[in-house]
Amino acid sequence: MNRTDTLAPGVSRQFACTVRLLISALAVAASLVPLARAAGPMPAAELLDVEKAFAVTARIVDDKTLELRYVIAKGYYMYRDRFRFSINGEPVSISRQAWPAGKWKQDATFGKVVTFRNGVRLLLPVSVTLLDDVQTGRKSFTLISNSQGCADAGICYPPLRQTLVLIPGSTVWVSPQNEITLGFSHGPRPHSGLADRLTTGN
Amino acid sequence: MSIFARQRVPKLIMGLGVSLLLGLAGLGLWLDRPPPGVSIRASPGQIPDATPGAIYTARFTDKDGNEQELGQWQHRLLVINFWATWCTPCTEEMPMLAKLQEKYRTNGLQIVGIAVDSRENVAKFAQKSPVGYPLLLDELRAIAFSKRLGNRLGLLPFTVVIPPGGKVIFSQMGIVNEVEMIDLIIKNSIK
Repeated sequence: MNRTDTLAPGVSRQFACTVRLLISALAVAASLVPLARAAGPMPAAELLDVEKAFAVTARIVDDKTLELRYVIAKGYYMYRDRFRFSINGEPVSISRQAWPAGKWKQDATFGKVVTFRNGVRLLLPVSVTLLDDVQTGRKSFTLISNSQGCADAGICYPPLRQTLVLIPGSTVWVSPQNEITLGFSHGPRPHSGLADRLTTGN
Repeated sequence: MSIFARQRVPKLIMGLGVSLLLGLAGLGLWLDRPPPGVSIRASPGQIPDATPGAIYTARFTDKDGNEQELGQWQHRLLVINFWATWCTPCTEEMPMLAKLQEKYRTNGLQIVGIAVDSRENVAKFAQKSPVGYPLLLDELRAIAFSKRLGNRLGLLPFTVVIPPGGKVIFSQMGIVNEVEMIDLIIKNSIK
């Protein structure tokens, strides 16, 4: 006795329909695999330059406060604990309360860390008098921003050191100077020799 | 079995079949998924400019403060992995590299990690997540050194493969593909 003998005529049509559907689904699945493969590596051109991924501007708010804004590109994030600031060489400390909430991220080494996406706005309390260039004779203030971030694509930028020059009495937003320093700006130089020549190209 | 009950059987088969195939399709996609993240190869225009001699005489300190010269591994299939403790993709990649090192040691594989990081951070990481291959570091010059090996954007992680002779045959920014690495190791294995 064959299968159709036991089933109503409508049922055999449904069975045939099922088979066709299964074949179609298989074809769809087979076509998706190469698509997924093609979507793999991200071209280098799609990776943003670090200053575009994490664009910083700053301005003087009042004589004791600076405002910093980081615009973080979509798909990129910055680590809260990697920010360091200094004004005219003097470190600026920021209380935990001054930071935006951010997002928790589990890190293999450091445990839970806070990351920022989209943007960060910070008010920096500073000890120097930002608006007073008469008494101090200062023509500018130098803000150093050290930061570090990564892309969701699975790649990280090295620590970024940017210099912003603020003019006393001016509250306009300023961008970093052209110079961008990737890597660390402090710490011991544990050795010298060929590695130095390699890195300097001499 | 009533006609009504029998008519429900194909519907059940159809439902189960569709679910099964969708599941298989999903599994296929998952198994065939590309390696996570970015995969950027050095193009012909970005051939590493560090000579074999320069690579093998480069020195970095280990987490205990001792200087190590890369030349001590010049007869091995050297894989240099640039990383940092603050680079989550890097630390996610390292267990896979540790597994490769253990499995393919007899093929001449020698992975060396060079951290763009402080000795304190590297020592802390090594204690918590030992990897079974040397971890060197240079907070100041590791990125610049990696650029000489083809890491033109200075990003992490960055990995190069250097067989005996000192020619860089593979360089990649982003997490490496395990299958591709195994293929490279097998093809360049040292008897």
